[in-house]
Amino acid sequence: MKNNYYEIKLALFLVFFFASMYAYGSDDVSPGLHIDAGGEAIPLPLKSTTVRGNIKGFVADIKVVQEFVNPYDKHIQATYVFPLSASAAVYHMEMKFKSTVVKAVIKKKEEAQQIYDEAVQAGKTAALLEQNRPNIFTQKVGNIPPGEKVTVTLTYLELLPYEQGVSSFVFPTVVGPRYIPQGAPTGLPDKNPQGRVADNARVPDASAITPPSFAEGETGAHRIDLRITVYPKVAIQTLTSPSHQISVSRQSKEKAVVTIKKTDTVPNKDFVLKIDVRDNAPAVAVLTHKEKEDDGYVTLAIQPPAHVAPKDATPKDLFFVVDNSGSMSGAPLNACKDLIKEALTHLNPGDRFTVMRFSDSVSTLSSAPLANTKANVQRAVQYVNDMHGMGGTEMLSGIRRALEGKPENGRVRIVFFLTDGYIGNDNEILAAVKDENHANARLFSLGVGSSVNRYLLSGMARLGRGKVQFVRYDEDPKPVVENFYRMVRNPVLTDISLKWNGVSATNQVPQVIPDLFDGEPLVVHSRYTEGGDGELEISGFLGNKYWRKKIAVHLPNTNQNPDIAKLWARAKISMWSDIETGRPGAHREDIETLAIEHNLMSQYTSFVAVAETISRQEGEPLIPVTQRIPLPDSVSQHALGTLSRYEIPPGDPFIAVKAPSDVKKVTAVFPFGLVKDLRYDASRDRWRGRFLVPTGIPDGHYAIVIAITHKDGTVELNTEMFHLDSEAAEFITNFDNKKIQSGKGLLLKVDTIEPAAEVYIHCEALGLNRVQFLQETDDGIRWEKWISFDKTIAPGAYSALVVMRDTAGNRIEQTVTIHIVGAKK
Amino acid sequence: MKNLHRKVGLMLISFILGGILGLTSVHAATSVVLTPTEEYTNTGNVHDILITEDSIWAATDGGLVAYDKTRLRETHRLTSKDGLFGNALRSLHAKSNTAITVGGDFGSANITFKADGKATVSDVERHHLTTFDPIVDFLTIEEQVYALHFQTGLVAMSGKRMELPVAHRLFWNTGAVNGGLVALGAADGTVVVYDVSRKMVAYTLQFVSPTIKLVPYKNGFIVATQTELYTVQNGIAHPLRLSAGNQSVAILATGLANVSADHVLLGTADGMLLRLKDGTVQREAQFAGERVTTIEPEGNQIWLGISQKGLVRYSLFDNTTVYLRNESEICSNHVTQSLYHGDTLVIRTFDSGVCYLSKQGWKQLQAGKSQYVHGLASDGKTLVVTDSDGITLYDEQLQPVEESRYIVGPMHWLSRSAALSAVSPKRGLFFIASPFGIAKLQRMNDRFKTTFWKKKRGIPGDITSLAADDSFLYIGTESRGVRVFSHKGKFITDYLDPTHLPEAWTMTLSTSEKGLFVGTCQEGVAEIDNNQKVTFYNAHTGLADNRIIAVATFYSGTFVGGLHGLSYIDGAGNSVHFEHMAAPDPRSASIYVHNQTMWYGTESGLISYRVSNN
Repeated sequence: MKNNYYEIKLALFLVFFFASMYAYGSDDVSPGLHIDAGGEAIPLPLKSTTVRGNIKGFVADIKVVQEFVNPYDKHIQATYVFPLSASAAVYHMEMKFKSTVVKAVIKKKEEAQQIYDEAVQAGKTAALLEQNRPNIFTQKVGNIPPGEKVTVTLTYLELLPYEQGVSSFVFPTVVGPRYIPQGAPTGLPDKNPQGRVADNARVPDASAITPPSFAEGETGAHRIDLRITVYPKVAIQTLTSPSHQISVSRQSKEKAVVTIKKTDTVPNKDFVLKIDVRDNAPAVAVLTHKEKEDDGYVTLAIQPPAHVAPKDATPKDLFFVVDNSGSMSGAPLNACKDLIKEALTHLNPGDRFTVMRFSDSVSTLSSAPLANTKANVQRAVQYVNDMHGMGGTEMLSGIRRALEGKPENGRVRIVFFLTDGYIGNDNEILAAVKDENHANARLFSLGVGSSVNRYLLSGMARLGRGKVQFVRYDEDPKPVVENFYRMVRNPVLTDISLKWNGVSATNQVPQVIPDLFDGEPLVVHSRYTEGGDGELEISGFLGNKYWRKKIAVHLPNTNQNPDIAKLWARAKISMWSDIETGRPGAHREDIETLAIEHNLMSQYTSFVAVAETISRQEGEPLIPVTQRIPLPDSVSQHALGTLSRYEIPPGDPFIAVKAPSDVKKVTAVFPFGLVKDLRYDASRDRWRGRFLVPTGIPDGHYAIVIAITHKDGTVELNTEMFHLDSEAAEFITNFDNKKIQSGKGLLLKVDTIEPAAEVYIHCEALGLNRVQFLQETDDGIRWEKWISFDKTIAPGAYSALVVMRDTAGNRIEQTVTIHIVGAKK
Repeated sequence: MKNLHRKVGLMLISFILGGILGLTSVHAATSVVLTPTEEYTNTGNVHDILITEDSIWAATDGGLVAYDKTRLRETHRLTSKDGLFGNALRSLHAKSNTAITVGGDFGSANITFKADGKATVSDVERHHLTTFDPIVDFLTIEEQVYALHFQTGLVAMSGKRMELPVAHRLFWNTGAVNGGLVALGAADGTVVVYDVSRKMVAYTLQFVSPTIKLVPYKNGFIVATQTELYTVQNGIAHPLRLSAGNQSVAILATGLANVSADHVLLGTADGMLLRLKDGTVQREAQFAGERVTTIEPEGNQIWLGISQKGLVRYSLFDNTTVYLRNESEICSNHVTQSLYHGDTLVIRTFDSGVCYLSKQGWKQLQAGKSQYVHGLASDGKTLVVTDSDGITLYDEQLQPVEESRYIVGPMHWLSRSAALSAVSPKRGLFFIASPFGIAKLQRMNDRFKTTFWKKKRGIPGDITSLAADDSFLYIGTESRGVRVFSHKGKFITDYLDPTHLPEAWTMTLSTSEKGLFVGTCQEGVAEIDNNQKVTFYNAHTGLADNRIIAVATFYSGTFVGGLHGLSYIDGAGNSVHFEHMAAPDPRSASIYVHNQTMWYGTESGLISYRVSNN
């Protein structure tokens, strides 16, 4: 009979246990309801995301409204992992619950978490916004009562990138499925127990950035409603979106309102809006702000003179590096193939090249760059054609291989890195680009896909002294390749230095000005002590010639544009964050102080909002619900597996893999030597297998390798982690009072080392019959219970059993002694 | 035996070791004697092949089988009943012309065979069950034979372990020797190549997917991983792929064998036989799409293990294939339930459906909805099979009954929604657990009246097991102990820890006239008698293990199957562990007592015992 319950677990794992609570409490749920592995019947809390904003000049001021509704009959804590632009300066948050609007306060991350935890524990409705990456955020809303709605509004500013006369507004809508490289267990509870991948030493917040996703083709009910007013203050030539169907309502030559059409509201791709003002763009834009007593802020955007770089005679070694991981399979990888094949036709005679691919490992077309001959190009085309997406994204190996070696006299190494950037170890990658570029290469990154990791790709290019481009899988590769070669020929302006004359500018960001490429403006944020008239002198090399320009600048002493202060602070935080790459925490205090001063989100600060009224009474359960997210458009889930349970004692769970029914084979390779070909289950549209974990395998985190052999013989590879847990860890029971009068109460607290599913106390003599503790924190680590003792209990020492059951079902007990003394007379 | 002595130290444990192994009987306490009678195993999964002068030997999940090489007939089938440490075998080594060594999940042994056809088992070594450490390969290194253990690594047959300077613990899958180099492949894709003479690691390779097989090749090795095949020379790995039109595809090799130093046969995951010769790979043959698990060439014939199909001979002379395995073998070694339906023994398996024992041998029960079967129940007239996709009913002749004959009213989902345990306390009455509640089927004439008890009635949501007696239905759960209902669906009581159970996670239930036995996941057994007196049994009181898989009452006591074997608790509460009972595998999977016969299902075969009560 042992194995029977696992079928329940298969269903319940997929809807999480709260769904069973829902089913239990609802007579609407037919016993015949088939909750399949795709989990269509799951109610989720995030109803809608509404985006409203204005783009004035090159600054976007955006308001994002997330509406959460509790569809369950218990209180819930909703967790939603969502993306924002990596350069967004999030400066305001508010929560609306019933008729009350609560403005969130910015706090140090740990402090905000504590405020939130205490509020949730006290039964108050609360919201917490945390930054996981500069472009990944987690919104938690605790104690949403059954059937109630909570609305959270975020507001952010962003300086839009501008190039070749076109500025781009990007609103990402979904966090792509990050590949988490294997690492040692952290020994701590996962940050999000409902995350798809466990935390590990290399990615300590892996669970927080891998929320559960819908199956391929499923999108859930959450939709996005976006309306942006575009007012660049110059005539708009065109407004286009390569990503979405949009409606454009022209208010004037300089103003328009853009909305996403209702037929294209699924949040599974970045919204991209291109604002073309090329014939009307100003050569210099200056934005300032100054409070009376405080230093002022200035942001300058300067367009260097049009300059066609001379044909560069320096021979180049081009390294094309292509991400071949599972998430790139299909359309994104096909786009990469087209791009490289196109790029190979643009080589100069003296150029050399090679092609590298990486997924779980790295392989190269050649160990050294090849001469640009017809035969070598044909060989490269064949190599590129043979690429197929499978496996993980061990990008670090790919980066290191591309940057290894020494600079070669008279040659320049250019690395063209094509990826969707779906990895969780962003910092490791950026640190490698920054610190391990032994070949002194310039790294140009190309994000390929519908919702790529723009933070990572931009950072790689910035730290690699190159440029980033983004291309959807369905875009024409030719312009991208032409743009790449235009940039590769040479930066337009190099060795740039700035000098302020007549005004005292300080705290300039960036401190070291990067080279500028064709069509790219120079953007500088700075502060100044006293207003006045002065000039900014810019000098550098335009091509091979020394170039200098002086720009008259008026810095006022009056309040003009308070947003500029936030943009400066955000840029400063980004600069410190770059320095922190590979040296985490080096600027923690600086960032905390600046972020709090300017009310900004950062990696070390969070927004927290707490409603004052109690919405959940003591003893009422709180159900954690992590919002599922759709897979990004064009991203395949073929290799993602699902275990019927993640925390398992030695036993027999099922593994279910989503893969087409007509693949040749789906094989699960288990770490304990078992290789199992899975069978296709038409009723669930999954390949399934049942397995046993032998006893005598040490507890720990293990990976099941899933190999899908396609009809054409290609093999798609992925891993599914599980945690083998056969023993409950010890726990600590704390009393607030070791001697208690009969007729009084006692607060018992239990701290567990690993998350617990249940904690209870039992003592028949004290009338305690499996009295359940309540979770103090939602990670299952801290539990407490207030116990009242009847006046009739005789004084004495009573042995009580405290029992903890962990999430794998392991049980451990502890005997505690409770001393009852006589009641005071 | 150490645990036994704590509580039942005065009990007499006697083992009558007859001269003929098959007649060994085991006495437990003073009351129960087990005598092995029948054993059924499946030899469809071959892990290793060894060729001797007249025979071809195969190490399988269901014991060691040998076939006459010329007549292609089975000549030997050696199992635990013949003295082996267990039936889950993985590796073979030719010890001499008349002896071989066999290694498996739970130990090793020598097999000596004589010209008269007799084979005997000796030198049996049993592993400690606390560590899962199968012998996955035998390697001869500098004339010393080593067993490659899954966790422990290389251990000489003399018992000395070869220490390898690897940075962290690895799970070894395979090994190969080439001159002075020893290559070991691990489950995480690591391949360590050890230079024996210099006593140092020559090089280490890290592949992206698990290492499946290794063979020597030229002055290096061929490494088969789950996703690619590589040649490895001097620490450099090159993928070896198969041309397919304009593209090349990965070779998913699962079986490798040397013909010579630069000539290798490759068997693949989808049943291809390939030949690597002169640096190129050519297709040799295609088998029925199943995995080639092992290969052994011999002249103009090749012996192969094909997953599920067993040992196969492929002739290079006429390209013919002969499947040697007897098709009437039991459908799987992992037997999770047995029962008699009328006079027919029916079993359910872990993941291979249901089969029954006919006069012609074992046959698969047809028309089940899924191979993942969770319950069987029979009242002698109707057999109920519950599986991942619903329930199916069979008549006395084991023919499926048309659904409309028993599904009444709006309960059609019963036949299509996942079903769990089933139990029949008396003729014409069945209880079936589903994730949504309990279905009660009551025969009315030739049809079943169906009633469903939903969760709001108090039916728990995490049912693991069912049992029933004349009055009550007992529902075992994962987190809420045992919940008791009347046959009419009235809630009676809960049995919970710590009062009635040692833990809330219930695995298995069995009723007797005395009361209820509850097997728990990790804390042993609870007996709750009809007067509500509770007794706990565990490893400290003489059980083999606390992780209980099956309980089955017999007279006033109960048999208890755990992950470390079978025990018996007698009517006086004394427990004993049957240590040497010729069980196919230490891991119990099911127990069924019928009259004086106990059918004991394990993960490596089904065995029956004649049970006598002295």
